[in-house]
Amino acid sequence: MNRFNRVTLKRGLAKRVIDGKMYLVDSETSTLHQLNESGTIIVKKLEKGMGIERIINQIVEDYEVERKRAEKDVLFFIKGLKDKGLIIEDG
Amino acid sequence: MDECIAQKLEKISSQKRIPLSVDVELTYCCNLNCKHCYLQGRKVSGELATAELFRLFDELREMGTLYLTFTGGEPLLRPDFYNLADYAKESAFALVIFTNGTLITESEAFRIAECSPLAVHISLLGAEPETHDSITGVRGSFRKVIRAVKFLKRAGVRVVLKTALMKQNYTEYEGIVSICEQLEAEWQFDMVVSPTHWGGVRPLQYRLNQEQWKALLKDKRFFSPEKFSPTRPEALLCSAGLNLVAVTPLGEVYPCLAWPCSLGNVREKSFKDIWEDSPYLTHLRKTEISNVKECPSCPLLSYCPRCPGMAFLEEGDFRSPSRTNCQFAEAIGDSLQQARQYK
Repeated sequence: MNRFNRVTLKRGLAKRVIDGKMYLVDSETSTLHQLNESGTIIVKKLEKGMGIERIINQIVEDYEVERKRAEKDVLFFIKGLKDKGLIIEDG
Repeated sequence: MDECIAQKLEKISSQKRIPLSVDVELTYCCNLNCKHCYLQGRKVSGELATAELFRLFDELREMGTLYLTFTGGEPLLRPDFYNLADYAKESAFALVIFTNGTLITESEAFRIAECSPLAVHISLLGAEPETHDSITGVRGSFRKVIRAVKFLKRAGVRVVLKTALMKQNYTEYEGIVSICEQLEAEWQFDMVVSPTHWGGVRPLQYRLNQEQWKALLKDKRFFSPEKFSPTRPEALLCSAGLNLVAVTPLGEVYPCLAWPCSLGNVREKSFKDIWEDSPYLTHLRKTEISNVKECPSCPLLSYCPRCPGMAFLEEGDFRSPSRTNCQFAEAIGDSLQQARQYK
């Protein structure tokens, strides 16, 4: 996984943000997932169709974090989503 | 489901008064005529139109509802069923469908799969075709249920077969479990038949008696003394009205499908206004365990599966004891004592 990978959220996921945290239900596996606040921000950007590189740039801009740190955190989080089968790599 | 996350979500949604799970009866129409149906005597005209339901779903999405159940009647009888199911999917609800299964052909099963439901629950009322069909009042309905489950499984849909155990079918429960295992479907039994929503007692003639409950509770599939954990006083009240609610085909909002007390109608007020301002809900949410009559000091408390809705139906007050639940608690208590004696 690198910042140039194209990823999209799996289709058909049920999701809601409750108390700042996103809850996702994957009907294929009947699994309920909970994201923390940072994960929720990243997934909301994925929902808007943003690519990984753009998400990293926005996080650096909005939260004044070091680029290196933001890149590491975003990629780590997206890899976690991939391992759980919640995102699809487009290529 | 991840238990821990589910519990956290349950807790936070109750505290924040988010209607996390909403059961929507799409129609009272049904192509079966089940003897034990709690909707006997229903009015089937003036049901919510597609646009009204879309508006309701929009509100629910805004308010944080995650789980949406389509039930009936038979929801697949609605000509706009797939419009509603597609809309629910687009609105990112986790959709559950309760159906009698008789209308699910192979193409319907694949169409249902496109709606990505979390599960489809189908009623199976006997292990023998004659038993099931005699309860539904329609010959051939058993065969159609089995066919529906096979089609849905082939389409990759999770299926739960639900059985209301009653006098006519309780001796067939082992056969029902075998059918579920063969079809790779999950099973769920309900041992208590309810009166109708309008106070009709006709279904109660089919309800199991205490001896029959006791006989079933000897089977570990229904009751495991090793896994038994005593009912905590907090459980005397439930999630209904806290994070769970139901809407009828006519737009009435109930605390839950088993608690038919109208809190308001979505045709007269927004769902949000009903949820936030209903005097009955305010009263319910302020109710503490100490306000529940008799139950907190009852010697059967540890065994009680108390349902405030059943208390409402029987006594007109959700704080009263439900005599049905009392009898069931006694049956559980007896089973537990017997299991301990034989240990």
